[in-house]
Amino acid sequence: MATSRAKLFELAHPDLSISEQYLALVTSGQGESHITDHDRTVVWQGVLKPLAFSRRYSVTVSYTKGRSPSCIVTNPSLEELANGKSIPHTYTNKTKYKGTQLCLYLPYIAGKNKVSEWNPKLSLVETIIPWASLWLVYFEDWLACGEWRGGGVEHDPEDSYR
Amino acid sequence: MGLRFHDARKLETSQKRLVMEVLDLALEQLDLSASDLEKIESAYRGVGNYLASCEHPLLRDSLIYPQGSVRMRTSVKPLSKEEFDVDLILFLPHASGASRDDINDVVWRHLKAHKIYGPLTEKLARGFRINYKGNYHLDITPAKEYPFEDLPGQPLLVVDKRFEFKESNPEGAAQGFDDACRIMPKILKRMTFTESLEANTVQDLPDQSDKKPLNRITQVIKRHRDVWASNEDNHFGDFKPISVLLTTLARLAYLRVVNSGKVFESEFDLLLDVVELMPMFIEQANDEYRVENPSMRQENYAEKWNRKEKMEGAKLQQAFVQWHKAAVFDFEMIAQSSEKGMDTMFKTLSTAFGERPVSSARDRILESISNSRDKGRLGVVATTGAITAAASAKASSKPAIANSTSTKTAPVIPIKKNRFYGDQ
Repeated sequence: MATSRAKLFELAHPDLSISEQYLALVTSGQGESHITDHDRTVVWQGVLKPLAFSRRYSVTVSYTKGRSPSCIVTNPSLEELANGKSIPHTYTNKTKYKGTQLCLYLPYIAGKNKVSEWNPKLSLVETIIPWASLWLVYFEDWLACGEWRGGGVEHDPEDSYR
Repeated sequence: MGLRFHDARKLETSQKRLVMEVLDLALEQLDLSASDLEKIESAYRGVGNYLASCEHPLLRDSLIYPQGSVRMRTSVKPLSKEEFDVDLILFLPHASGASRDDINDVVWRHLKAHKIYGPLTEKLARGFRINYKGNYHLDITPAKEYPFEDLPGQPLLVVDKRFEFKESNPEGAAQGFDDACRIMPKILKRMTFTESLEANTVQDLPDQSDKKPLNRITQVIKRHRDVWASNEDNHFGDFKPISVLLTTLARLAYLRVVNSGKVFESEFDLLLDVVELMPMFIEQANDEYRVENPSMRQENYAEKWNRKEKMEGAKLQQAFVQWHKAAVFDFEMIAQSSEKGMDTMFKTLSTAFGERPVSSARDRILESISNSRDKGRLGVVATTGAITAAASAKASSKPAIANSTSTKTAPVIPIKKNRFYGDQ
């Protein structure tokens, strides 16, 4: 019974395909998008200026089917802006894009968080990109006052997340 | 002629509104609170009642009333180390025949005889100071009737160290200032950034009428002067322009631009116009500087600029020029931070207006963003990533107010709940 209900839900809310993600990105009218990696990956590159005096941040979002999307601020260098301080809520950047990789949502964490805040049914346009804007608001506030006031969950080195 | 704004004029409307909002929130911190005002009022009333009750013919029916910024609601709390200045007139209706020394002597003796005021009272060039150290001081200027002309307000002869008596009409000036405040500029009214986040619907405009633009602009100017003068490497700090002079120039400049019928894109544009035009209203005739009290021509607020001894006048006049240059420069610097981050904008504003009130404005704005986020009412403009109010589906079918560089038709994407994470 439970299985079939899950299946029904799955049918009603299928994962978005790479081309559907791509289409949503293109119609948002923001930045540039392309599909690469034999149709398995969609990449979005755009500029975010979250508040009236914010910098213009060049941001790359890359999403490969079956993996978590990554979001990297490529310009300006957040490391330089942080002036030696370690920036909260980031990942060690293992992508091919140079810059700072943001951590924008709570993923599945074994024994801690059962449901990831992002899943393949959600469009990047409505999640990752707005979250990146919001992250940048709190980043500039962090630069100004030295305190992260955007909330979030502290990383525990024991966490096993995906 | 004169210094002009360039970069500040070129800011986008959303940027101008944001700067003005930060200034507004910062100056709110420096306003006298209702309880401050009450305390001050009861303090000077106490002195007034005491003097009026003294059995001396010169003090009979005497009346104490505020002049200057307390009266005009343009007070700005001083930098932490200084005391707050409350300027008062002590009007003596039965002193028309009395000399300055008679008046000073009587007031001094009676204040000194008082158990509480006595030890706190000091002499000033124009009257006396009752100094509640570390808090505020009451500067009391004794005055008698000005018998030569009927003028608006209350024309007076006030005691003066150099001239025996000087013409003064602070009440006339204050009434004129109030009148100017009531002439409202035409500003394309939009909600401020935080208002747009907090309002339930686009129609919900909170009433902002308690503080008029001219009061606020005057406070901004005075606060800038205070911070500028306190700067350690400022050689002109000791000669800083006096408040009544700045207030009068601001009022005249304000009236000029507002009465021209100009429609302002934002209050910030009005502020720029006022700052830019202020020097124009300094008159110079026969080698003499004049900034007259519009309610009493004889009262020249720039009188000290004409003093020759020790170059005092030249230094005062130069200090005004330097302050004005700094004000124009600082607003230009703020404008130049338009692409350099909110952190840089706040830092630049802190340099010009002081760290404490500006960080409290920053906190207020961030709080407003976070509150809207918690309520699920935050959105981004799709084309720019600008944070704005998400159109509440049930509240209004109108588009949310975009605060940004976007065109008004750009769709707003509501921001879904999220928690930031990370591995470092």
